[in-house]
Amino acid sequence: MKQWKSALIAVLFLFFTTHTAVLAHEGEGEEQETENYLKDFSTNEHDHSDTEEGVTDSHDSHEVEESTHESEGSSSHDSHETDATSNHSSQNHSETTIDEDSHVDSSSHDEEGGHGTFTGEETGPNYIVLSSFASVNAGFLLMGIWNKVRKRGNKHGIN
Amino acid sequence: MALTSKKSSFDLLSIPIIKKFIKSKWYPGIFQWIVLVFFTVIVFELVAGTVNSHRNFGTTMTWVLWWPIIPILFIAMGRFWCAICPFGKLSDIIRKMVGSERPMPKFLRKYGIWLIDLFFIAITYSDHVWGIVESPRGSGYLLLLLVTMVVATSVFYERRTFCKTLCFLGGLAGNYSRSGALELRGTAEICRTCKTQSCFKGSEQAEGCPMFQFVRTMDSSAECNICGNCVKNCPNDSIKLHVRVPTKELWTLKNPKLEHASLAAVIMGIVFVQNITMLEIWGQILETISIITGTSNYVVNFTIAFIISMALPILLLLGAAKLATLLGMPNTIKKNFILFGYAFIPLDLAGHLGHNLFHIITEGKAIWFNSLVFIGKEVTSVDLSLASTSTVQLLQYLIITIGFLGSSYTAYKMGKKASFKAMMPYYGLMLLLGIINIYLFSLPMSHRV
Repeated sequence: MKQWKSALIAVLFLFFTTHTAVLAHEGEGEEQETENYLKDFSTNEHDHSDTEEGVTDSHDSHEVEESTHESEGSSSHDSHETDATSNHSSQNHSETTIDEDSHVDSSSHDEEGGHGTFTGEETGPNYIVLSSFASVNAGFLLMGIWNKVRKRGNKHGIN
Repeated sequence: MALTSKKSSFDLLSIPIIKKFIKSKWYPGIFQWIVLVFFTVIVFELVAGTVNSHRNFGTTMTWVLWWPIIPILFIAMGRFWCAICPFGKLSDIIRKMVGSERPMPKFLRKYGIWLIDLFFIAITYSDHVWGIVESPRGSGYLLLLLVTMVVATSVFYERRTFCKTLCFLGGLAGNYSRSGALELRGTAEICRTCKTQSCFKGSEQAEGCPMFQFVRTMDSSAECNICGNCVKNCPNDSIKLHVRVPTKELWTLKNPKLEHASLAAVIMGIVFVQNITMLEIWGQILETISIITGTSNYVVNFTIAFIISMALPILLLLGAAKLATLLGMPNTIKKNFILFGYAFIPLDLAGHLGHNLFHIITEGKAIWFNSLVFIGKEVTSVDLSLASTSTVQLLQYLIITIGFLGSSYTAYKMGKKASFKAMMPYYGLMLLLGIINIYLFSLPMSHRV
């Protein structure tokens, strides 16, 4: 059992080290790759107003101008400060013909298949957030270790 | 004493290979480790992978695959997911290594389910205000937040305190599992004479029930993870794992609680919110609210729509309870509200399943494509749907109809000797909720990836 666990840890370690190495090279030839992927995997029909502002995450945009939202194709969260009276009716990821009483025509998926285009910039992990999580968790674990040590000390009559 | 008296239902533990497997050290460990490895990879992808949710492996696996599968698992296998959940396994590991094993605080014991209700509402609200589902980073941070909560509770408290009192998915699992097709119970004649109580206390074979359950008095599957610890621990071979008719547990509730009934109503509200915000008409709804509020602020207008969606099922249930009491239903309005709140569960399940069926079917190939991208393969196909949307709609209508029948039959069974006239408000309510769900599913819906 111990050997099995060690093997699992080794596999995880290898995965993360190789994946981290890949991340370190992230961006090399990425533009071309992204372009190819988007050509294949999305409709490229939506004009995300986010891109005009260079926003990387669709939710980061809280103050998109009303006019740009007219053609918003993404989810409703994309803009939090937009005018609610603006035209949200094109929210659906597919901009093909929509019947009033039905779901989006399935042919839109079959023929175009995409679910929105990502035209923002790729960003790496947010180390500040991650290290905050890590330190809080490490803090709790240290408390646990401290409790264990103290308990063991009490057991052996050490104060 | 709530023990098994099912002579006709089939006991899965009567199959030697299943019993042997559940009693072995491989169960549920083998599943737990596999899920934990997947979970680690998914979290890593969410927090460090691409920020494009359409391409992120973690987003696809979490919201297109896992979230839609969850209700199916609850129907088929009760709370089995909780036995193999990565958060639960993490809790087990931490408690084993550095846990203080203090008793669960009284506050959590008393208000745990209310906290779950609140967390569930808060998470749904946050998702729509800050965006979690569509943002890989948001999803990743949510999972890390849950990890932190698991670590904090496991360091101090015994067993699975987090799962029982704080996990929003645990609350959902508990409610849905009441409708599940699996039921673990003890054998009355054996448990009555048991002196060891090792199902609760634990033994050398395994620790006691991680969910603080005592098989002898357990009358619900809501808090049984089917982790098999009691099967391993019981020296008298008392435990049975029955296959039962889904929703059967709801027909004869012994101790209905307000917090559980409220959660069932809240889940209905959450299903409404999830459906409405993905619909084409969502823009028009916001527009109408903005005229009333006089502001174009999304958060303000969404908050109003959110409160209405959450309050609607609760108010409807309250209204039905009052009307039923006026029409001759025995018990007080409060008691009727609590009891018949549970009848929402089959419709909750149907709504949840129907909504997510749309995602898993119309975006299903994204699971395959993003898995290929994850392992470095090129993707050339452009079609993500596994079936046409009209097929999905047909399935959704069918599921809602089954949910409606399940809820109505549950209400009928709960009513016992109540007259048809007194039961009318509940049948009417179930019909109304079924129609609302079907109407929402008939409208154009947007995708997650």
